[in-house]
Amino acid sequence: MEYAWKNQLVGNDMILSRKKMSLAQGQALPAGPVRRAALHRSESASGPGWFAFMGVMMVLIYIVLVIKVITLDSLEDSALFASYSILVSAYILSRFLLAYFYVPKQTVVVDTEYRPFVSFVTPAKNEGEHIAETLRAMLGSDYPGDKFEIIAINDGSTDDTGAEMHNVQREAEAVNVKMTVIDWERNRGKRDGMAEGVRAATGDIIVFVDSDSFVADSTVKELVKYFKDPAVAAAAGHAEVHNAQTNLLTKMQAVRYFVAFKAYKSAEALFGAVTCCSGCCSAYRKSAIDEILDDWQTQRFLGARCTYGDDRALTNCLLKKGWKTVYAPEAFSTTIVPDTWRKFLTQQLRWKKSWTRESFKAAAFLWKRHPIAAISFYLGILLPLLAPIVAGRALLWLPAVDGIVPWIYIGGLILMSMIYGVYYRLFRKDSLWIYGMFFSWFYTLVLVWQLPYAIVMLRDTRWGTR
Amino acid sequence: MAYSISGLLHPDSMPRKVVIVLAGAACMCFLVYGTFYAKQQLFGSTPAVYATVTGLRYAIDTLAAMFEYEGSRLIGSAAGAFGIGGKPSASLPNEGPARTIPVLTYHRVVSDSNDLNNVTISNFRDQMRALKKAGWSTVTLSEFEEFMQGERELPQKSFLLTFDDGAKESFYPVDPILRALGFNASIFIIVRSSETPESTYYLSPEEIKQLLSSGRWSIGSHSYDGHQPNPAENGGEGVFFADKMWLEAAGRLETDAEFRTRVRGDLARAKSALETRYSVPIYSLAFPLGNETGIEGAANFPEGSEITEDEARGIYEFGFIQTENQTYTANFPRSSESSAHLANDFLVRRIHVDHDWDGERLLTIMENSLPKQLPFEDDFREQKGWLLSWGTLESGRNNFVLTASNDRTSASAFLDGSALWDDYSFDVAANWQGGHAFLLADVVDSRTYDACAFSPGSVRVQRTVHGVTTTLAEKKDERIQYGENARLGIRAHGSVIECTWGFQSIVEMYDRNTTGGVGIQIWDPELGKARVQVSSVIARPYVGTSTESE
Repeated sequence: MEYAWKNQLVGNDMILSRKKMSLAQGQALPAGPVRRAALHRSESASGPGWFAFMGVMMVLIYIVLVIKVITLDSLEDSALFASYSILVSAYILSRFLLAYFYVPKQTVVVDTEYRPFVSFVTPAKNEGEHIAETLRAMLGSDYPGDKFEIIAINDGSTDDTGAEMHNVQREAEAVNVKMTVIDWERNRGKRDGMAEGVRAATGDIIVFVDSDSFVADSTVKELVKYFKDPAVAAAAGHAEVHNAQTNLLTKMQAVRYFVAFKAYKSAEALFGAVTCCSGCCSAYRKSAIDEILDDWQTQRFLGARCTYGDDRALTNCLLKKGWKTVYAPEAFSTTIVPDTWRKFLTQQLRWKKSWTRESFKAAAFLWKRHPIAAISFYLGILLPLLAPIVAGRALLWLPAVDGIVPWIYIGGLILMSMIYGVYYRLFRKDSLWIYGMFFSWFYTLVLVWQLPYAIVMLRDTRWGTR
Repeated sequence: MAYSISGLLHPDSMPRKVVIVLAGAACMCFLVYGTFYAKQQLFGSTPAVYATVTGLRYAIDTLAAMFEYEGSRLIGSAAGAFGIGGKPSASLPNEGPARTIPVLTYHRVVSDSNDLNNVTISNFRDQMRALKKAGWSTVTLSEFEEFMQGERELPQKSFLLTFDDGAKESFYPVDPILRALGFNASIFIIVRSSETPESTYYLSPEEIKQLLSSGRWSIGSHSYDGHQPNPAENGGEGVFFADKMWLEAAGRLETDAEFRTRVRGDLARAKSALETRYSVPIYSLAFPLGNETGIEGAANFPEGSEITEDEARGIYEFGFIQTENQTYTANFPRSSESSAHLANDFLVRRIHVDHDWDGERLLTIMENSLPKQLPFEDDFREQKGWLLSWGTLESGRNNFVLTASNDRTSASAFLDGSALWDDYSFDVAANWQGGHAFLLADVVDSRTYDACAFSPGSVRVQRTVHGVTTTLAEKKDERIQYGENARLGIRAHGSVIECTWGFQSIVEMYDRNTTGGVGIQIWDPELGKARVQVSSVIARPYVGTSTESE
């Protein structure tokens, strides 16, 4: 994974989790083309297990509510911290509640005649290992062969990425699918690669797929139906973790990804304002991108050129113009996530930097959206910024100075992590839900300190490219 | 509609989902409200987190105690059937009703073993188990009150278990053990403290109601607000019920009348507040700080404690105090003919259980408080209940050495459980090498008794009443001398007090008018010098004029 770009997840940072692909035996990296069409359907929301976990969920929510009522009492003593505690719980619980109302399957008019021309765009640098599979997955799309094309940009790779692209190109020719390979001698960056892909694209809809992400056969079909609504400019696909079974880290991320998409993106999508249509697999209306393409490509922040957070930046540009952005839970894809702590922390830092940059940009116009969406959005900025202060007070200051053991804080943390885990388990009958809890703890104890650091390092772009 | 989201919501599923969410929210509201309502009922203003933790612990403790006790009871009875039961209680025949009842005082029962003022949970459990196993059982406060008034008979080996202050830790760790053992207890409430909002220390009124409704607990008064110090002169602190209060505004101490009014007001207010709030009659007051004057004693008003006792008498029927070995450990009923003079018409003596007593130690004290049968022999191999009123006492391992402390001229000890004796002889074998040795008979308390005072060359019969001594008879006899194996004796029978030396009657006095137990004193005019070593004692029923010799 030479390119360290990875799709950005949700706007705020309090989620965790990730989902193993339900690819039953789900090893690290399947060698051949993955049969993804069926794999994510093993989930089902029924049976005694489901009710049991729903019951557990209710008990957890009950305990959270009881604790919040108790917290209300201390509102006078420490207004900031008590309100934080109440707001953060309200925020998280409201994500699940709003997501519950988001049922796009039934809303989107399924018009089988509606088959716009689709251009897959995938820039890659030194992704020789996965690129072929990524491209073959697109090739296998359950979509008329004359209605889509593949544009692969070889961004100055020094390995066999280019050769792999050309291999697949020959396979595409064999099945009469148009495939273009753009070879760059010198590395120019992911954003230029994406922009070049857009310019070369002839389709009405552009589907960006990261070079280490894999679409399912039905993904395109599921994505395009949202564009029947002329107000929609972008649709985020549902991404899960390809290498979920590798180790503890990837298992944790599996639950985090799942909740981040399923709950948080649904909650945003309910108001047509998904703040990040992730790079791993999202569809955009070309006419909408065209309007803002140059601005996006040449985006500068604090005097430096933006070299990361491309997906969030692109979504932001469209939101600013007033377009709707939605989430397509049925548009399934998988992506490879960092399997070492070092890579993971680097990725998280990059996300936090772009989250900071784009959130402040979006703050200037998101108030125009639905009030619930706007409030959620601003809370989603405020709470992560306060989180390090609150965690520092509860975990370091109070124990050290007043000798207070932060039972309430730890209890709240455990409860929230259990809610994530159980939410995952409600939809996915596998054992990964347990790892969701670890992520919650890891996030609060370790990652929470990253945001202040990221803000300080905002201008340092070196991190972004690797 | 400016903010249409209809495009993304399925119109048909909306009503159903809204209903589900509203129903779920209503359920949650109901549950959460119910939770806090129940918390309010059970714990009052106790902080919810504390209440939750306490409640859970209490539930676990209760189950654990029941299992543990039932288990050991079953094992115990099985063992008993095979004749390998625990050591049988060393007590005397348990026939007839109880003639005395001991009262135990605890404050809190704590988990911290470094707390020197409170008993740990494990010690408390050990103590209660030992008592239960030895056949002791608790009585309720009203049973005790009726017993003391002579209106009720209670079985032998009954005791009253009391807790002062009304702390949460007097109830939550204790109740599971009481429940398992079938015991009950009383708790003396500081009314003002129980009203402390959000207290994690004191039981709230709601908790006190819960405790009363368990049927295992009774309550008494521990004053309204008399447990804390009052301002005294020069910015000092005074004992609420013993010292005059400094009136800052007036720049003076309160007058006698003001003191009396204040004390009466507090005591009466406590009683009426408890009776009104909990709908139970309150007859008993436990004096804060152990007794009327507290541990430190009065500083600026010597009459204070007497006034307080006087006022308390007017409001309550029973005043519970802790004294150190100045009276018999257990309490005598007031109306019993044989022991009325041993009973106080108001005060009730309590045993303060120390933090480091194990069950065996407490049991020994309790068993020793039971009325002893005559004849009684003691060679000091075991603790038989010698209570040291002042001085120092080394007792045990066949040894009994009574020594005056460095700041006193005398030392005094008497035998617990001997109070009901009458018509007896009490003989002592002692290594007597100095000072004046006193054998006590008719001991009512440490300051009221008859005595034979032995000095080299003479013996006197004395009567001491409330610390005031009069000599009733004296006889010179040169046989009386210091020696390694001196045989001193006192006989109390009918109206006679008789002193013996070497089992020979030396002097008699025919004006005996009370009964009581036995004791030993030593006196030497030089500070800290008085000392006597006793090797054995024997008390026998008095049998006419026959004088035994060895």
